[in-house]
Amino acid sequence: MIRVEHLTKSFGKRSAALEAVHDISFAIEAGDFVGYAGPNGAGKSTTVKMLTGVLVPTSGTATVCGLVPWKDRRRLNQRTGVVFGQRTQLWWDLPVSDSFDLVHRLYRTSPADHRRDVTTLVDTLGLAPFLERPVRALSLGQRMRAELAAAVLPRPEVLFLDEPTIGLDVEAKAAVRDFLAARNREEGTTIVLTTHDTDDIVRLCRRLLIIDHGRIISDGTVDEVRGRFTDERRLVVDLVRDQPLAVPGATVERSEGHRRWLTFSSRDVAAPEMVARVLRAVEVRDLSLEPPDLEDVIRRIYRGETGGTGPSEVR
Amino acid sequence: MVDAIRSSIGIGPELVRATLRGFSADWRLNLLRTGGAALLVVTEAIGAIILLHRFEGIGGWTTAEVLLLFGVADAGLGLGMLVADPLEPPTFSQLLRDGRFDQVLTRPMSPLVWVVATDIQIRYVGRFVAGAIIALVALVTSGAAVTPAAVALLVLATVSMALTVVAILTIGAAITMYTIEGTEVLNAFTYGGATMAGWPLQIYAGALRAVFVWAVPVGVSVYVPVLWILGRDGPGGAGRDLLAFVPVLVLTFCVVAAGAWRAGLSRYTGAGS
Repeated sequence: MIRVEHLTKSFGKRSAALEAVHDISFAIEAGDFVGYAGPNGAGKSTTVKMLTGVLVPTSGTATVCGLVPWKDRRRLNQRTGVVFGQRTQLWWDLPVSDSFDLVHRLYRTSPADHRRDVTTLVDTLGLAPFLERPVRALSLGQRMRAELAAAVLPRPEVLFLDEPTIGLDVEAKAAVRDFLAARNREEGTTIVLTTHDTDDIVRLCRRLLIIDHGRIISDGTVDEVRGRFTDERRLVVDLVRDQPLAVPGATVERSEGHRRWLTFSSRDVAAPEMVARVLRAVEVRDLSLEPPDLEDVIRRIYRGETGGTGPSEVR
Repeated sequence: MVDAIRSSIGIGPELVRATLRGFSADWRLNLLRTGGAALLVVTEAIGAIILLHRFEGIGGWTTAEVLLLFGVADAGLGLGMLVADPLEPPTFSQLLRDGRFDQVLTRPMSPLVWVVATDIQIRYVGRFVAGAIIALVALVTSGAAVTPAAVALLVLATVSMALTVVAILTIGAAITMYTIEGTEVLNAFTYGGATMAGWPLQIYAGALRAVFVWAVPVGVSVYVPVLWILGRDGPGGAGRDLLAFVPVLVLTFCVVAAGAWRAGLSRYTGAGS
């Protein structure tokens, strides 16, 4: 469905060019649900813009739905959908239903399909209460649901989503995630999700691509990535007195009031032994042991760790 | 071919209607702005009349004859700006910087049509109407024969002027795509060009005249058709025999502008994240 080969994009003049994306290659099969993560400025947006035909790459090739995006932009746009969490694709001053109507005309969908799709989407996304309200009067959660509906009305084969859950409350987040999962499962829509929210990735994506400094630094299933640093443990300790804490084999990752966050490798020091060391060193009111979450793993991957090795300096 | 055009224009007309519906919510404000734009043109015209009255015409042209140029130039500018205002450097630069243009590029239609259709500025109707009324009054009072041919020439002049203005702003937008920050250099050709086209071309120096005839056809668009209406002839290099060249020059300029727009798109590097 998506094929990327040696794609490079540099900005600015040749002498002082800034490479936003450097020689990336990957392939995404039809029906896949892929997370695309990376720190700010890593090259995520630039990649998505090249795949939607907004930007022309400096070198390399890519095809989406068999089309070269920047050469066949309009035909490709007919078959892909894009949602930007922070910007609207709807008509600000018009009621939501008018936006749907314009989408129908723009993508020239058949009237019968359009009517049926609108009915289904109004139902599944709960749009009825604000369907006739202008977009500017919607809450962020309502607007996001309307955005998703507008994006899938043309029945896109590929959906690019940029931070679709940013700023949403728990309930709206869940609604958006349920909808995307169902769309992927039932319609087979290929989805590429750019996000900083690791919960989005854990709950939705099968595969995770991580980009940093314009290079793909990790590519694998979400489970594989999570398993990379299984030996890492975090111990949260509440001290009786605010005092410095130093324990052999552990690093103080964070310190806030009486609370300390320690990280250690269970391969070097077993968890019970680490707890014993802490109890010997200081007076403890409470403690809890946590497995690594995806966010920690991603952070370690950004730092260039490969996983499976011993613990390294944690700031 | 027909399909290509249809997919370029896409839902342009529907977008315009949607934009106008947005206006109807603030109709009082928009009426005021439109009236203001018309008043501006009338004030300029009165200024010109006072000046011309004192010097008893200019370059051998009577006040009414000059006002005919003036009215057509303003009507053409108004019509052009009604379409192309969103391409003006500050507006277009803002569109690029807040990422809205990136979104436009994810839609299956011409981004140029989209940008224009979603931001029609109704106030330019004021400039157009005021200019057209001044031109019609000037035509009648100038003593020229009011024939269907004269009216057709007025339409040609107005449309040529409007197309040239749209083309200038399109080139400006192409430059903005490259620089991101808007530059006001092009205003010299739009507002400056319209002011210039409001006066008989023979009063300008040869080099300046040549630029506005052959390079940016603002001058020739208005001046040459008006020469025919008034039964006059212009100086060498800007005479009435250029009439057949007017559409050619204007359309060539439009093709150049379209090329610049396409070049701008291919070099567009986006803005922000």
